[in-house]
Amino acid sequence: MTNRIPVIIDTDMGVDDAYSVMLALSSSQLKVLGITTSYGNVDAEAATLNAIKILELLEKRVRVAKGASGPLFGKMRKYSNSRGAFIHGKDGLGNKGYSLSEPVHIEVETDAVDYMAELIKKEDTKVTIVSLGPLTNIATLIISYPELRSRIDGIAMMGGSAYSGNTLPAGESNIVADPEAAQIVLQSGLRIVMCGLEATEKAYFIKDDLEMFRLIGGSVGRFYYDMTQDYMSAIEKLSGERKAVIHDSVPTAWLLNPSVLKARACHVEVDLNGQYTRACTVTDEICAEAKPNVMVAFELDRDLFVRMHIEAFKQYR
Amino acid sequence: MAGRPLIIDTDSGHGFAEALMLIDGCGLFDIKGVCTVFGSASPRRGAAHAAYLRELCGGQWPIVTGSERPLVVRRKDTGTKSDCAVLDELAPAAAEKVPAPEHPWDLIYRTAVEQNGELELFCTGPLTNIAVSVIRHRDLPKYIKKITIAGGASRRGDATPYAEFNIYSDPHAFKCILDAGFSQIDLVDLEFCRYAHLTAEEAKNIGMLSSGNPWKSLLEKTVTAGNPRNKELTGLLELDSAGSVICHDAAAAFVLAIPAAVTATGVYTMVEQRSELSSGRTLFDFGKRFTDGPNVRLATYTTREMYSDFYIRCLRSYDRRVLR
Repeated sequence: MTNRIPVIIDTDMGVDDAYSVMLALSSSQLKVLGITTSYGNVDAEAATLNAIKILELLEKRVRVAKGASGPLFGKMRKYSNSRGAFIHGKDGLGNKGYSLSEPVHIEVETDAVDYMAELIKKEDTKVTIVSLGPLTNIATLIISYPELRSRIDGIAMMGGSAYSGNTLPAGESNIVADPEAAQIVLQSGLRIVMCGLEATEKAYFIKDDLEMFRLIGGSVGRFYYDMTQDYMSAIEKLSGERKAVIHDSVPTAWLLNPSVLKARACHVEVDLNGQYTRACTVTDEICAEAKPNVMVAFELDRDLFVRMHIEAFKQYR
Repeated sequence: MAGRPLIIDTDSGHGFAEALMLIDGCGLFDIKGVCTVFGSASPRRGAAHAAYLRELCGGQWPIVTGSERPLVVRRKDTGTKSDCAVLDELAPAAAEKVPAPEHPWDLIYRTAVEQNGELELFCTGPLTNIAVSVIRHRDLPKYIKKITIAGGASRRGDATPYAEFNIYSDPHAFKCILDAGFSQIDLVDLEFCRYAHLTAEEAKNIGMLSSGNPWKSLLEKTVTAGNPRNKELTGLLELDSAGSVICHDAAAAFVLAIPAAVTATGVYTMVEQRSELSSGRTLFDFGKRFTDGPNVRLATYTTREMYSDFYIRCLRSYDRRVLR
């Protein structure tokens, strides 16, 4: 395959991140150059360990670099008290990460931001960044390596929301974690596809889907099935619906098949000083006073989304 | 039998005209007064419009002018929202002499006490007058049966991407009302108009009213002929723009008059006051994830047919008045 899309995945490696990484690495359309990690669903150390464990489970040789352990400004909420631990389990992998063997490989020593820069410089073609966590690493890359902007093809991000929130009434967790970083990224002038809650909350698996993964996916499918059980229970406690919402697979699914989403050009800015609306991605769909800067996803084809994951799991049978 | 006692607080505009037509036409209310506030028109121009509309109703209620600016924020664009061109043309400037020499906050409080807890308030503009009423008369809430507000947006706003004009114009006033301890606040947000609107055909029929109907001339010019404001709202709500006629104030009047025809949900509502980007945005905790019990009842659904039937019946009631 000559025209594979070179990507770097930046992740806070929780349950849904693991699906996204699996989907990306199972496709011949993407060339995953490296994985960078940050705090978010878990702390940066755990995110790094989880990433390496998942790569070893998938038997993929991709290098991992640890990144930010907190937001650009201000303090991070203590992980153990956070919503992330409740949803993703204490280990970030649905309390099942402990069942995976201790990793043989180790992370790269370079800092995540420098590692991203190194990968982008080495690549002949423009690189796409897939952002699955807080945008701290990517914002730092943009401000510290301005000369590399032209080498970045775009950013496919899971984060934000036009009309709702999950961590705050109008705030989605990846943006809430570091609103200033999100604002830097959104204002960067780079091509951005924002997969916010309007689309990602439609990206869910039900019990039958997970059973299918378990049946067709060999040891990988069985692990993902187990990993998702507590995650689904946590979501059920919050929403009353027993389903596993796999937010982070959405940007990867879009890269593989853009028809999975319906998106439109909007002007988006992050609210940085609201009492109730801090971290809201203020989405102007009409763009009356400002030019569009982001493609915002509003709809998702769930059937296609599920089929893409089934095809991915088949590779591990 | 006397109707439900009601005071209307408004920033005028063509929407207010339609709302007043419905409120008076349905025969359910005893209108105790109309207060005007800045917004679509200045309070004095609003009073002139209200006096003209009172004539169409054949009413006697007092009209008083209120706040000319918001409590705290200063908006460069409040008071300039032009939704009054036809009213300006029809209501003579001389009518600006009409207002009674009383402040809205005193009229509201005095009437509320007289009505012994039965008075309802209906608000179609920025909520500054009501907030001042609460500030001046802290025990007002215990004398008010219910407030119905045309305001807020649970999805898209018309003043900013999220904020609806009435709340955007004075978010602190809305916050004051949320915190004042009123026993019932019914909120009719922009999204409710998705269900409560007229079709193009129904709007066209207004032009076929009997020539004696006092509302004919005004509504032909504002509803039947269409207006830019309507186009803006159909776009916001992503409705079939082939002529749907949306009127936020009229939809709120429908909720006020026939609450049994409306599905409403109790929801904790917040209003952003601090943010530059999001000031005036109403946030609704539908999932009860962030807050405790509800502080407003948000109208969420009705059938379009019930609304249009109510609208046409109220309008036709003026035909009968003429015949009598």
